[in-house]
Amino acid sequence: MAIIKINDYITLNQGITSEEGEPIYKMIVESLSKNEDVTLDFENVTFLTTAFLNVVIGALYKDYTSEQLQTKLHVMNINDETAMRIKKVTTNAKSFYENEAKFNEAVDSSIYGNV
Amino acid sequence: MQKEIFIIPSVAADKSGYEFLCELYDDMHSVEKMNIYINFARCRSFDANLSAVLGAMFDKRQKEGCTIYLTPPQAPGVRRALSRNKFFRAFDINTDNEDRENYIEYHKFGVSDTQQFKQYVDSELVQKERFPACTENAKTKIIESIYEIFANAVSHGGCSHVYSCGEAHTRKGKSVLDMTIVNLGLSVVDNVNHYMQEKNQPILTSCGALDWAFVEGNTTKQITGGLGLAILKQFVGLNEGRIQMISGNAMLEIENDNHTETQLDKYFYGTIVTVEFNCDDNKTYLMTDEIPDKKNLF
Repeated sequence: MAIIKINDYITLNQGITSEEGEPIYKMIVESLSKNEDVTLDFENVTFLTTAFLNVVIGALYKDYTSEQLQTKLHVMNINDETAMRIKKVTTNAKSFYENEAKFNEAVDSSIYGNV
Repeated sequence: MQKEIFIIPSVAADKSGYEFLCELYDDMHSVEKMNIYINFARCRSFDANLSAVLGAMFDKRQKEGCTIYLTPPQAPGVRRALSRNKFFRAFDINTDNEDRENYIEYHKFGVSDTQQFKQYVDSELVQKERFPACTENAKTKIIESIYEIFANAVSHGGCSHVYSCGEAHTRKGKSVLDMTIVNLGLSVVDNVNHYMQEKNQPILTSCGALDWAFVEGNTTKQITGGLGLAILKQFVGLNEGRIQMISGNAMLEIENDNHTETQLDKYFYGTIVTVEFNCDDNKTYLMTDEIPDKKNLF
């Protein structure tokens, strides 16, 4: 089990840009690729933008399903605001990657026909 | 070799004001590596928040090899407005009427200067005891919104810097805070329509492209996104504030549910976002029935 303390990777207890989120995303992916569970510890974090959360969590839906993440990814010390933002980001990410997949299928089908 | 450009008598945050700034941009780009004199002598009124736009343009030309000289304004109102937000100081003009609590300093940030931006918000907003005079709850939401605008500017513009300033004042008896964030990256209009082309979707009008950017889930990026501006719009609606976005040849103003689209006769090579936050706001924004199950977030 890997525990990632979000506050160790941001400044002034706030994560606001996607650039700040990238190292955390890489750590999560590294652990998930080794089939490890990951806990995100939000202790002392006061605010995270959706731009930050899209990179840290939303981008995971490109390669992992909701079920996989629900099993392997955990949170602790999370406040209500952050929980609401994460929910918004994950709902949006599921729909985004589902639409991307449909779009790519449609492009493939128009180029290669239905095989 | 030198070029002198006069600032017109009145520059406000409206169609003619923005068209003048676009013209100024074009004028400044009609010369190469010259001394450019920006003369405020005829200017009688200048909207302080537009100094972030001026700063972005002057800075760009300086990086491209021009030297910019400002001829200070004669009108006391203009001199005060551009001194109090320390815009003149940023361009080496000494003034003696700075440090008013109701101005948020003009500042330039690199796209990776995230920590500096947080410190700026902390010192210019959070630490100012008398300012803005609003509830802690509204203040928190206002600061979150400013972060969303900054995050959006640095991730979408394809630019090297963003420029920011602000002012607290009263409008129609309401205590309001205006914040402006500017970048000279790819315009929203170009960004959205490149994306539409890629996706074989119909090209949008310039104003339609700005509207598109505020719809939840709409993003031109390769990864999930499109929430920052939608959240901003939702909060500003509840807060009874206003949003103004200028990008390319379009201006979009959002107040309550009204979207006012204005086509500009000139083109702005970048994006200006100004938000007027209502500080007389006692609402509680976190509804307990909206809090998700923390064991079921993914």
